[in-house]
Amino acid sequence: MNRIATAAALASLGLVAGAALPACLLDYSPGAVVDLYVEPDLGEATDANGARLQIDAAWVHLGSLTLTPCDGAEARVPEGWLSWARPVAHAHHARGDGLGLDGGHVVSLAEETWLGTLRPPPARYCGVEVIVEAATSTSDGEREALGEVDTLRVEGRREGVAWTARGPGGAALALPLTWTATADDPAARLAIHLDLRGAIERVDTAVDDEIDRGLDLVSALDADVSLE
Amino acid sequence: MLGPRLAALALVMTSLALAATPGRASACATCGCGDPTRTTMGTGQPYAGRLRLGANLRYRWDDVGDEGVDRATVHEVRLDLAAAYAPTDWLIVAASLPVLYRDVGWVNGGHASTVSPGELELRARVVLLRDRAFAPRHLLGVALGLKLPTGIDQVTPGGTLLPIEAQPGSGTWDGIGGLFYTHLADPWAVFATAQVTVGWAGRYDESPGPSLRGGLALQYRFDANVTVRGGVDARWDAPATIEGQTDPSTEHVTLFASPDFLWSPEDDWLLTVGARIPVAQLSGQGRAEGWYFLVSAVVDLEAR
Repeated sequence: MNRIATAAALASLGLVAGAALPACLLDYSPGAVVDLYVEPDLGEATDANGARLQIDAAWVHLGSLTLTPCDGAEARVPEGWLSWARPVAHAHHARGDGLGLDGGHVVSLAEETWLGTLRPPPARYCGVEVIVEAATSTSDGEREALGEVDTLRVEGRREGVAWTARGPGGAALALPLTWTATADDPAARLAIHLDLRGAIERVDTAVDDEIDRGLDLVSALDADVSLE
Repeated sequence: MLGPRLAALALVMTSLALAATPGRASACATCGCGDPTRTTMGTGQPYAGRLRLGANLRYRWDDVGDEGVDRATVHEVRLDLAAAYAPTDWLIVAASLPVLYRDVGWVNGGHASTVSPGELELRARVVLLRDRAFAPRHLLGVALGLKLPTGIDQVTPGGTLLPIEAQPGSGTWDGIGGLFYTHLADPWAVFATAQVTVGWAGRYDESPGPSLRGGLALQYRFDANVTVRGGVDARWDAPATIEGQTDPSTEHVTLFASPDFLWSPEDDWLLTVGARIPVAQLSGQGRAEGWYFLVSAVVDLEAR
């Protein structure tokens, strides 16, 4: 029985010693990383008819944002990101987003908004595709600003009178980009500028219905991208 | 008419032939296959007063996600230190603790190598029915267990939690329950197991869903020293929960061929070398689970 007791004690000691081992990170490199932001865009604008507007608040829903590799043949965009109307589909490893952000995000144009981090495969990237579409019940960000029907909402004053625009609608914005992602570089910063004031310059803001005004703005919306 | 030894060889060859069939499907960070207690707790009649100590070494690899988009490749070496004790002839209790080395590569060129203790498992195997008290031919019973989230979080040098595939476990409490059946007709034996694992209270963004494992093995003992075993193991992983939402794409089914070679160099010692070879996989997320290579050594200590 002494043999059993000794072995049991040794086994227990082994298990306890195993549990007491420290967790060691032997080697780590983050690889290619890019942080995505949306820049603010409020202030004064002049519409297509010369009317002056002061934009005080604006929200836009981004359905997805996807990097486009230069060699399109190898650019395998996950199925879930193309089908924006379907429920959110995450990668199994949740932080391992590769080429794009899914799930939708309501951003306020009052301040800079961090959308997320991408970890794309090392490659040359020639563009960013931004899908602007109606918010859903699973969208992140300031969802209450748009409910589950609107793509955009703008609040301000037109010629001194309160003015709003809101509505559904969608747009696919293909933004040119020149970026070579490598595993050794520090994290890049990619900022999307949604040119709301530029859109206002291309529409008639005197249209009666706020939804029609919203649809016009979504259709006229353009954007550009900057990389640091 | 095949001789028994030829039939045993055919058994192993069949397992290997199954393994030669190309298979591909999907992965998880904390997977396994087959009956992990087969070596440590044994498959036959418990011997009251017997203590078994074991060390199981396992290597596997796993690809998760779409190549060129979000793939992570995991290589894992796992050493399980285990002890099992039978206080009666109908009960065995066991504890095991893994130490894991993981090497993870991500599609963005990122990479992490980690080593740490894994998650402690406590198990019990209870024989409920046997056809006779001495040298039973049929054994039927239940297996119960609990896996504790004792793994230590792996973080980056900046303190950020690494993705779950680099963690030493699922971070959940897991309840384990199952049935086993053993038929002993020396030199032949048949083992069948079914086991379900249900996790809760996960501490990571992603928690695995319930997992069902089944296994069927046929064993032939050549002599007092050499035994071969062949069979199949299957695992079905229900969809995982990611950030509070069930992700159907993480559902995964794998069928393994399971050849083992067992060698007893002397009384009370048993060495096992084996493989678990995925022959068919179903996955919604481009997962390709790789081979498992297993080496184990156990020693029995009897109460005198």
